[in-house]
Amino acid sequence: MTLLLTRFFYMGDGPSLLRGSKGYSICLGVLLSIVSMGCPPVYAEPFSPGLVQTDGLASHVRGKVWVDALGCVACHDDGSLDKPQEFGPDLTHVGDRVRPEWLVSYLSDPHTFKPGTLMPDLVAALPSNERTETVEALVHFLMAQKAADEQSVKQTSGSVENGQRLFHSIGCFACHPYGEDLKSSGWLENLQSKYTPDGLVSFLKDPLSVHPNGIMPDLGLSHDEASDLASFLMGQSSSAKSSFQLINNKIERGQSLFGGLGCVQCHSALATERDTGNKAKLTAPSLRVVNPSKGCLSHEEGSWPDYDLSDLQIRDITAAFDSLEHLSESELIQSHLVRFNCIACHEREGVGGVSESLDALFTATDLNLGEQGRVPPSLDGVGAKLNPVWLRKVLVQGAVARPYLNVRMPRFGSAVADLVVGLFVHADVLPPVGDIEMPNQNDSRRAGRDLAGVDGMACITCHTFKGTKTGAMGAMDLTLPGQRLTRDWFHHYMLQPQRFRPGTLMPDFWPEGHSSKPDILEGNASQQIEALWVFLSDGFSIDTPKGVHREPMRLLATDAEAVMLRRSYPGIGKRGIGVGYPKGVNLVFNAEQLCLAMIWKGEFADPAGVWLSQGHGNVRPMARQQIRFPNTPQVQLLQDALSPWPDSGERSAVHAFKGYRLDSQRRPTFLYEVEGVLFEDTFRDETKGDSVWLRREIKTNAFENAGSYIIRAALGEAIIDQGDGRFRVDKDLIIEVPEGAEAWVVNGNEGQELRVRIPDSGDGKALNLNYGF
Amino acid sequence: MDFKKMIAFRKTVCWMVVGCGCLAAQVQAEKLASFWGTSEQESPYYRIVDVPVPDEIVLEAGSFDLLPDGRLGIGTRRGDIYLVEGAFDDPPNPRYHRFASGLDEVTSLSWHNGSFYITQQTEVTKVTDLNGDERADEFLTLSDVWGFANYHEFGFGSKVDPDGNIWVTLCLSRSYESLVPFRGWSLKVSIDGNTSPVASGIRSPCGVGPNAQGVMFYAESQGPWNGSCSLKQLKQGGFMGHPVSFNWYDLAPEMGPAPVEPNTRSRMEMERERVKELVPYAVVFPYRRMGQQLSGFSLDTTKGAFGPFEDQIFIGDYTLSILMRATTEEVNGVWQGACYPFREGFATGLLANQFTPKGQLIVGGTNRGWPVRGPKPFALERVEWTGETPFEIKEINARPDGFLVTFTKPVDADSAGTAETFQLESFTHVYQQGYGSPEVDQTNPKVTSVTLSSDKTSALLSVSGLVKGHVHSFDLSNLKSADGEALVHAHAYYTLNEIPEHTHR
Repeated sequence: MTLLLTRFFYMGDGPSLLRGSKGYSICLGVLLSIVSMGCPPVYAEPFSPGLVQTDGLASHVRGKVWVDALGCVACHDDGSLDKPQEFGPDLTHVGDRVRPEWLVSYLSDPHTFKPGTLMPDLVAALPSNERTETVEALVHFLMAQKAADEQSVKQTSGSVENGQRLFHSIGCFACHPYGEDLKSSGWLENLQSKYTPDGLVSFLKDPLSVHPNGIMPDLGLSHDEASDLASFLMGQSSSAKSSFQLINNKIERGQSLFGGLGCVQCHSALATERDTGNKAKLTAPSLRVVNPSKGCLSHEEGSWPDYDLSDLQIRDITAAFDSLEHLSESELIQSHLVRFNCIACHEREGVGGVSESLDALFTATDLNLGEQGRVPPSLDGVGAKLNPVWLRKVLVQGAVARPYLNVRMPRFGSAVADLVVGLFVHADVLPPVGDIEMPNQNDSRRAGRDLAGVDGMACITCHTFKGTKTGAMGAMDLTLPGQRLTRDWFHHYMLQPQRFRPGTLMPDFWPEGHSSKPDILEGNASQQIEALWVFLSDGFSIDTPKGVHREPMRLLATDAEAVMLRRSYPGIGKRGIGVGYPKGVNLVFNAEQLCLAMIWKGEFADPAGVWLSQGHGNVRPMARQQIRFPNTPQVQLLQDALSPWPDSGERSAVHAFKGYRLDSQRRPTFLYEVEGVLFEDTFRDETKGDSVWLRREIKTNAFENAGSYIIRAALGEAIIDQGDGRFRVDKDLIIEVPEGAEAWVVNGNEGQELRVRIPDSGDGKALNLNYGF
Repeated sequence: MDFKKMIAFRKTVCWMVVGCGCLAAQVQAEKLASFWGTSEQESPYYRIVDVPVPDEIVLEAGSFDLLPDGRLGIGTRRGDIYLVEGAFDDPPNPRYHRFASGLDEVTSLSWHNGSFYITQQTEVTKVTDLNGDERADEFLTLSDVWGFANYHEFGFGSKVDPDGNIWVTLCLSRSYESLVPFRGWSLKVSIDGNTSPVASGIRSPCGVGPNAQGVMFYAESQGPWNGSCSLKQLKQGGFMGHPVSFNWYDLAPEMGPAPVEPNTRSRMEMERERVKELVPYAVVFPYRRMGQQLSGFSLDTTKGAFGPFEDQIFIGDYTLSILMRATTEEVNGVWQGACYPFREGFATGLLANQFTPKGQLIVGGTNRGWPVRGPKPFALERVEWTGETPFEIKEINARPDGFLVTFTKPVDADSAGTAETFQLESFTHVYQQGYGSPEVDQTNPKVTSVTLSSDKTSALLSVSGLVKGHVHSFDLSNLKSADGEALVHAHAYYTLNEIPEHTHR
């Protein structure tokens, strides 16, 4: 183990491939340089990613991992050991995806050409001329394993950048250490010479069809994702057509060698059904009586496969032979978790978990959830936690409970599920909760719903409900516990969440077994938890607890007074000041951009978005349509009243909000500075004829005339001067300018602008504008 | 679950031993136990009194201050300011008057020269009633120079300090980034509206206020670059630990160049050496054992009306609905100190507290938006000293070769005279970019001798194995008072940034 580790960490502290590459955040660059420290590995001997970080794993357990990974039982089968169905990749369609030139190189000298490969060299002992002929025949046979007439070599159209992002977020990195460049990774080397582009895409989309044993699990990639990933992994692959031509007699010779050499012990192929007679009757001895000085475990060449094992691997495998039937349940589970490298992401009984070098690659979609939203859970006690149906669903069907993790739990397929589900369930036990005396089912369910709602334990504050976030946190959906968990675990967990998930953000709602809701089920903790369980057990048909649907709120002016609320408004931002007036006009003033930003008629607003939950939403105006003005300062000091409207950037350096005063009806006069000069900007609701107008009076005490103070009163597609001091802005707004005021309709970059000079008045400057809408 | 068990549990991976005893626990009619399980022991000394709120008022208190006429001012998350008469009466007989409304979340409130100086999320504002009708009609913006554009950009301010400044702390954008100016900074706003930078490196602050020496502190939350929640000194020119806000040094030339970037996966103690501006956590509140989300705090200036903890900081926790105490001292030019459990079982998530002229402590808050143990959506409560002195660890101070532990009552010379009675552990956190940290580098310092004061109210401990930079946790479960009582809270946590070179005081 030490040897492996040393070798693994020895090389590759050079610069990251992605350093300085465009389109990538600095953050990812940092992550990658972290990762590159841990790779790339260069092995001659077989490599299993799960065995990289397993300090403290017993020699015979490591050996068991090798026995399974190398497929010893494929030949050394005395019927006494469980025998998986598949060892190596299924070669049924290998001719569609893999290039013949690559196969020639690989089969001629697998250990040199693909360091770390688990496949033994079966031609090592042949004389060199015979070896060439053998490999050629095998390649012809393999290339005949296909459905399509011709290999497609056209480039994939995927995005390299997306592929790179996927590789470093969804979990590929857990097994495929990736460093300075792809070439230096033993596992991803030469993919462009191995695969046709289509071949790699198909493989990535459905790796279990090639590896039904689950050794390359299925990350649930969409076609586009698989294309992106393939583009990233292959770079520019050769689109030259191969000159390779199938020759029938070579195919036949290859078929016979496929059986004769023993390939068939591990691989399926179209023309060579293992179970229909072509299988070699290998007479390899039982694992119990193997002779380490001869055969696979020796360094001798001979008629046996050459695995190029290291001395440590030989020692481990030998140790495993002595204890294959005596492995404890815990050791057996360990060996599977290591073999399938579950331990790269999950810890169990002190083995595995996210390593320091990979930690930064585990990221979250929702930062609110802390570490639990980023790192996959421990598998301690998982057999007692998850019910076996769900465990299988995760492994076989790819059921997802934690969509907020960027890393994906891959689908390992039924072979792996067959291996581990029963083991987990048998190994992990919790003290049973037993029967709890409950009211009838309906009352229990109702009590559970009350507990989940805002007036109860308020589970919905943090937990998603049927895919909808009620608050800002998107913790696990409440439709899932009933499908996933065992009742025993649920009861234990509810009482002491920290005990099972150290670091969870979930408070314990029944500290010391006491309920903080004495009015529900008389405060009986066990009954309350059971009621929640009954309620949550309904899964997707679960009833909606109180608080999920935010009830709209109404914040309204009274007949006598205006109403105000400073918060975030849609399209305006967080420094909005909304005002609803008694006569039914409403506005939002943008206190960051110093402008009237929005007006509407009718009732004022629904503040639920800012008064409930964390308050991270918006105040919603209670009208379907509002009239909006650009979010940029409305008053500017200009030398030329018609010059292009100044671009103030994100925030003007020459404007400053100074507050507001309220009149006896609580109607505001906003105060702000333009280039150091204080303006007062007053908005009133005013009845004119039979309609209500918004009257604006803007004034300053400044007399200086360093230029003209111009207000850009409106911006629209079409502004029409109606000649009576009224300007029609598009179809819904009229702005009335006082007689004698200088006003212009200016064709600006974004449309037509109505500009008005703020004229001198007796004690400074003042302008009155009326908005009809 | 007691502390020992909890610690033991944190250290073990094996969870299969979870007993089912709790399940069997019968529901008891007695008072609600809560986090530390010490509610019943606390209640003879400090009682919690509900201050009723009329049905039509949503009172999510975010800040308090007292008016000279004896009324209580309350700033709320909804954006109101209430003036309350009768909140300190016995029994409480509160009459609420809405003084102002329509504000952003009012996270600090300070009455000064006839106006409220408030920090609302968007700005610092002077709020005045000009015409004397008991309703504010002038709202003057003193400063809004910081960016306010993204989720979770909360801002918290202090009361007006003796120099006429309000110290504002600005949470990071989305609590992880600094996307607009000065997110992650502390700024000082004078009552004349001048704004100047104080410090960078803040993550997610809550309360801001002075200690007994008038030095300004703020409450920081566990997360990136913060292994646990803590009180930190807002040091002029300082860097509070989270480097994502370095991008605004260009806007603050008086602060000089940005500090050296701290290394991740390091220790605060090591990075202090590299990054000269880095201000270490003054008082670490070990996560969960001492809260999960520290909030507002006040200084006990009641001159004994609130019991034996004069000049100490009383700080709330939002998530666990508990109150804790903290003491601070300056050692070798660095602030540090200890935290102590105080009272649990509040009705909602605590955001703010305020001592009253009668020596009561008003607390309030809400449970909306984040997980909270307290069951009520909002509540106003009052903590009162019953007049009985609890047997508590009053204060821990660092000494050159150990600690001075002071108690509220004389201790039993037999149990206190034995070194083994004083059980110490030390640990620290990983100082890292990742979220929070486990407790690491544990050691077991040994108390080698105990010297009791002549009045038996303090014990000078000689300790072998003090670890500079570590939190030293005290377990005095076996200590008895002279009257044979056990401590109400047997645990306390001292953050030993510096070891004094000579005895002071």
